[in-house]
Amino acid sequence: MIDISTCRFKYENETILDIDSLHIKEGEHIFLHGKSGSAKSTFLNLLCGVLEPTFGDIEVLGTKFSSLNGLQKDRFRADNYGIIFQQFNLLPYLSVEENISLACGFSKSKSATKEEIENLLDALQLSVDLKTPAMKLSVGQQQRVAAARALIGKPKIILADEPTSALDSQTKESFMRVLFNQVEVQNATLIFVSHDKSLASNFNTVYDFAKLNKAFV
Amino acid sequence: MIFNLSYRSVLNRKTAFFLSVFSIAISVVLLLGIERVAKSSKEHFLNTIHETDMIVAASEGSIDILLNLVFHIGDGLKEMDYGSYEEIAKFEEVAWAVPLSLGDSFRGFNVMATNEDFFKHYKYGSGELLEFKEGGTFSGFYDVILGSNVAKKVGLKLSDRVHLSHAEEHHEHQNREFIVSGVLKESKTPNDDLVFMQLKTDEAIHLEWQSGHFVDMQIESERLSHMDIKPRHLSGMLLGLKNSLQILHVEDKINRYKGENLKVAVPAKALSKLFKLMQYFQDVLSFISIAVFITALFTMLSSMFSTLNERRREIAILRSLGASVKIIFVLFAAESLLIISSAIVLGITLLTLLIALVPSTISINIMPDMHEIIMLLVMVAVSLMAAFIPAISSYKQSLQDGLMVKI
Repeated sequence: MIDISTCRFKYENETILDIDSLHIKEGEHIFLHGKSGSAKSTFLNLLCGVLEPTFGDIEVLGTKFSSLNGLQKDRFRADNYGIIFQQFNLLPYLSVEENISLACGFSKSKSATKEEIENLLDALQLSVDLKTPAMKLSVGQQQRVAAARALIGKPKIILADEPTSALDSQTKESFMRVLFNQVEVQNATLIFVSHDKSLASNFNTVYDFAKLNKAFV
Repeated sequence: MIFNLSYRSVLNRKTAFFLSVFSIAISVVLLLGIERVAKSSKEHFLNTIHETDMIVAASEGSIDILLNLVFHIGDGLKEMDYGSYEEIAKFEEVAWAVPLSLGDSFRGFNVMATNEDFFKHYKYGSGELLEFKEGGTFSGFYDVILGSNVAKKVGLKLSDRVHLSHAEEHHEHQNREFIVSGVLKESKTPNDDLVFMQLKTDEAIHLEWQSGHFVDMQIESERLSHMDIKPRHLSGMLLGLKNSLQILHVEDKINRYKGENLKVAVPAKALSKLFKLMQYFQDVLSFISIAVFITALFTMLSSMFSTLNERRREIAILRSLGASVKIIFVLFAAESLLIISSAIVLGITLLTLLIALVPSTISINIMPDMHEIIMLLVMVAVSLMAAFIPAISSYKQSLQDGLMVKI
């Protein structure tokens, strides 16, 4: 469902990313092991259409990014992606519920009732009042709300960029477990980026990003 | 949804928001306030005298004549002969003529000596006559009529007895007692601050004044009132013509009047001349308020810029959820719209309170007129455009950041 045959990206006249080929099948759980400086953030930006390759193309769900304009790419991302960052995923001044339903605000295909949000939070084993402001949550709780926002509306692709790096080992484990469960339930494709190799065992495919990216020496 | 987001985001940065709103609100108060005071005072000035075709006096300068005889400010005019008044009043083109003599004062208020014709012919606003709240025009020799402010401030009412003083000196015409025969209704014209007496009375009591010194001639009040005293001098006269089209003709006739050198002021012309002088001050004030508005805009911009860095995350989150770059511009525009509209509402509220609380002799309109609405719309447009400056910075930043903000 994600097909890259050649993809190069230049930043200030220097090629920082060069991938020959990468094919990800639907429902696959990919672990990208990336050292810092290996341009994995650039790769994720390319993968969700925020950056454009200098050379080559990326095809997602049968759509070539080169065939979409900026607005269409934004809409495509809204409809098909759920993204979780390292931390500070939430708008602190919005409530839990508002943060989650924000994902539906920019997409035509995503929608969520209050019940669906509650069920999803249950599945992620998070019990907080939906009206709680995001700034009152602990980091662990925030990451679960972020996961809920990524999963809401059942997008096909979940991108997670170091989602556990701010968590202690116990919350990390339970976070991984509930995330995996829910990705399975929704039959989503998961692309998980981390420098923490101990997490790799749960995944069916593991890539070393430093090897994948030929520009990284 | 975007407006809700913008609103919540702004509330999250309350202090900066309220500072921006408040500083812009002050400039709204200044801009509208100056505009309104200028407009209302213009109306007020233009409404002071109505249907008087000309004012005749012995001095040069129509503004001087106007200031002295209509607004009762200025250094006083050269006196004209009463005989000239009598002759001009007899011109065939003249419908009515009212003699005026100023000079005395009563507890800081000007005394105007005239006759009962003043109340029949002096019109203001859109043609209203001065009306009496109590009593009526002169009947007895020692009658005085008080303007509404005089009655209010001095605390006098109908049939009260008063002593008047001469000129600026504080010798009172001790032995002459006057009776309040009438109190005028408030007209919001300079007449509210006048004390009226009859010309012949004025002349009679001045029999005892020679070159500024009081000479007690021991004339009893009763006898004085029966003496046949003819006024000798006037400050000027108001003139109404049978046909207003003859103004130029009559003006010419008065200019060529043999008896003495007289000058004509046409109120409408003199008023607009006076107003041109005042326009300059209004322009200066408007310039200052525009400068205040620009300063306020910079306050808004600097508060937007100061929060730009902490908003990088906010924008990256929205971008990751599929918000287009257009959204960034809309967010900033919405924020500035929120600031400027709150500022306008606050500004108008403050101004209305200010107008209601500060006592003024002129009535100031509360509702904004077309010109003010256009001015406010220009302010909105300018602040919307100003919001583009931080929006562009933020947009460039977001292109560089992508979704993964590293701070």
